[in-house]
Amino acid sequence: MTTLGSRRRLRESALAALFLLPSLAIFVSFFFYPLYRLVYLGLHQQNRTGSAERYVGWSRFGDVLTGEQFTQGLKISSTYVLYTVPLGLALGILLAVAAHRRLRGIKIFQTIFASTIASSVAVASVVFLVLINPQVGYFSNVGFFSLSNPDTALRGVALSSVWQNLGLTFVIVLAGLQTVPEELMEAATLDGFGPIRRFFRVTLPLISPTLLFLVVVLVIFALQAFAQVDILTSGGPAEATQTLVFKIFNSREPLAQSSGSIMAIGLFVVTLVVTAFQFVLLNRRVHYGD
Amino acid sequence: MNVPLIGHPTATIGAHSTSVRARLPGVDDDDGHVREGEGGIVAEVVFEGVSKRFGDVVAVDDLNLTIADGEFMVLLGPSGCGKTTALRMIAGLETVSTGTLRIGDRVVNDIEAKDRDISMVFQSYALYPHMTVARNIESPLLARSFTVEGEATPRKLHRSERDDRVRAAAAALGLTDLLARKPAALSGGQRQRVALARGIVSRPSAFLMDEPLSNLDAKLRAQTRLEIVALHRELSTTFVYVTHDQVEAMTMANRIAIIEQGRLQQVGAPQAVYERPANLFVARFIGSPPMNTLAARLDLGAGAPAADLGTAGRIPLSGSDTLGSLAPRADGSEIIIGVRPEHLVLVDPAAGDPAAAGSDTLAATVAAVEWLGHERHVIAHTGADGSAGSPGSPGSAGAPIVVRQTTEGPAPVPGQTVRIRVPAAHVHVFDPVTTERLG
Repeated sequence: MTTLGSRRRLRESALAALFLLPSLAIFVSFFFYPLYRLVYLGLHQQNRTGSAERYVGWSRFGDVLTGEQFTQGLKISSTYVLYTVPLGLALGILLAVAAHRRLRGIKIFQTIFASTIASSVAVASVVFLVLINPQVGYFSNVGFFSLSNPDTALRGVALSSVWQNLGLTFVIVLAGLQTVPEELMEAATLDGFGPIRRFFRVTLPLISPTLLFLVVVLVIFALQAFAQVDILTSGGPAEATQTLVFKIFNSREPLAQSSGSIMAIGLFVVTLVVTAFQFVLLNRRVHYGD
Repeated sequence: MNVPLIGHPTATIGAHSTSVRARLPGVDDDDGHVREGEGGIVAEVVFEGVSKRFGDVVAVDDLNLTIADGEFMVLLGPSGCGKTTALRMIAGLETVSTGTLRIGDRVVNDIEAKDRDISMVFQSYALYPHMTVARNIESPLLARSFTVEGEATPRKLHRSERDDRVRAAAAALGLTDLLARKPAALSGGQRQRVALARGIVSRPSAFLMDEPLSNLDAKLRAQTRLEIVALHRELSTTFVYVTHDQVEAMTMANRIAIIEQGRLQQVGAPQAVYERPANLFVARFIGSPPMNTLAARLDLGAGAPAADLGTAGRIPLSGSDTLGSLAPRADGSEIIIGVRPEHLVLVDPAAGDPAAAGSDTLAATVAAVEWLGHERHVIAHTGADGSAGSPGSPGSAGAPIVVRQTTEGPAPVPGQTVRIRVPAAHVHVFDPVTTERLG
């Protein structure tokens, strides 16, 4: 009886391992190994051609992470987070609330609002580029987000991202709104609450888990923003839009690989800390139903 | 945030319902009808030819109903009959398609739900899951203005005034110890009480309840029924209560409005509706087990009308109050007679019971006996041998009849031939076409 039981357990464990193997393979080859390589590259200085390397040690980490490249990139990335996340979230909630009602043809609007999900960052950026094109664009003369001015270029990039992420934010908030029981809104109405009070007192707290998720995702998106920068400004003008990821991307040649790797690890840690912080801080204000 | 608002000792459940009014500030103890805030406004609810259509579906069809101020009105009917729609129209959660809906002296057709001064307990209770019990109960006090004793104009309540009222409402429903909890940490019965407390805290002009007991178990349901009735007695507010459960309707209502397929069937006190159902639907819907109904032919005889049930027998109608309305009917016309199970008496011809030979008995065969402890139900089929007569013919042989008996005396056994005495005084007569009561 015992041997039979343990043999069976062994067989089940083997089966479990077999099922886990594909995802394990993917994680190892695309996550754990690259992470290991990053640390390795950070610890070794390449020569000009990348044909030889020597160990330089952990002291490089301190130098790079306090250096101007990294701090400047982090500053631009943080500004970018501040530009994109609150605005994107607010617009997404606004659109979702507007579209969350039983009206004839509302599905058409919901589809339109969600449509940017279907476009890639590259496509969205090119569309935006055309919109603000000095010759043919509709918004060619708007100085507030002009891409040719170092003081405003980051806003332009941020605006395109806000627009590009709006579909995702909209769809997720809409899904959140649909989980709020109709009877609760009716109870709030009978309690004498108008639409605005209903939203802040009932809807918002009930969709707070959804919003927490969105904040985390949007912050990570913003910290990792690259394609829109590359397409819209290539980091210019005057390096004003060089986000951290863009700077890391620019450290591809062998001589810079060590510092690029360290910056990448730095970004990873920053993202991790910010996300953890968000969970701890916001979790206290989030209601997870019953 | 998690500090309990109240440090009072426990209000014991069961004892709390007797003094609700005394504990609610602003409710005048000497005259329950004077409510602070409303100043004794008459909160009569009147439907005048009200209909509600959803596309092609008529949910409520030309409803005319006056719910008196302070009345406990139960809207009763099977699911989908339109009773909840009628309630939601009072609340303002559904618009009125046609007709006029008045609350007090105000036509409320175009008045928004939030401005109607009405509270409602939902079937799901609809408590705010992210708020404590105290905040849930407080909710109706936040947005509205109230007239405070000694002040002329209504105003928003201060925090301390709100807390007082929350405490009073919570005490009235035995929730004092639960004020700091969230709904997820409450039992079904406790959630139900919170919903009631939230309903009474603003002292609305009308209190609506949509099947509030349907999520409770049988024992708690019976207990809560009593408590809601006590609450009504103490508050003297108009209660409109929707249910499909006739026991709730019978035990709680001042009057019952029975609704079927969007149409009002009958309005009346529970006893009146039970004793004189207006039509076949009401006759069969009210009462458990339901009224027995049998197809028969009218036999006018020589001034002594009777219901001819074919081979099963012949029941005199002389004792009923239907004589006047039966007179103009043609001899031999089809009628439906109804008798409640408790009015039927089983007589055993074999035992030499003299009543068995009476003219007001039907031949029947016992099919089954259900023993319920305090009583038993004998299910019998009419017809001398349980199979005589052709189906569909008057007397509808084989139609089951339920007889309600005490458990004293020997029970009949299935297959036994018996006679069922039908006391003429308890026979209801209905028109088979219009289904209306005759007489």
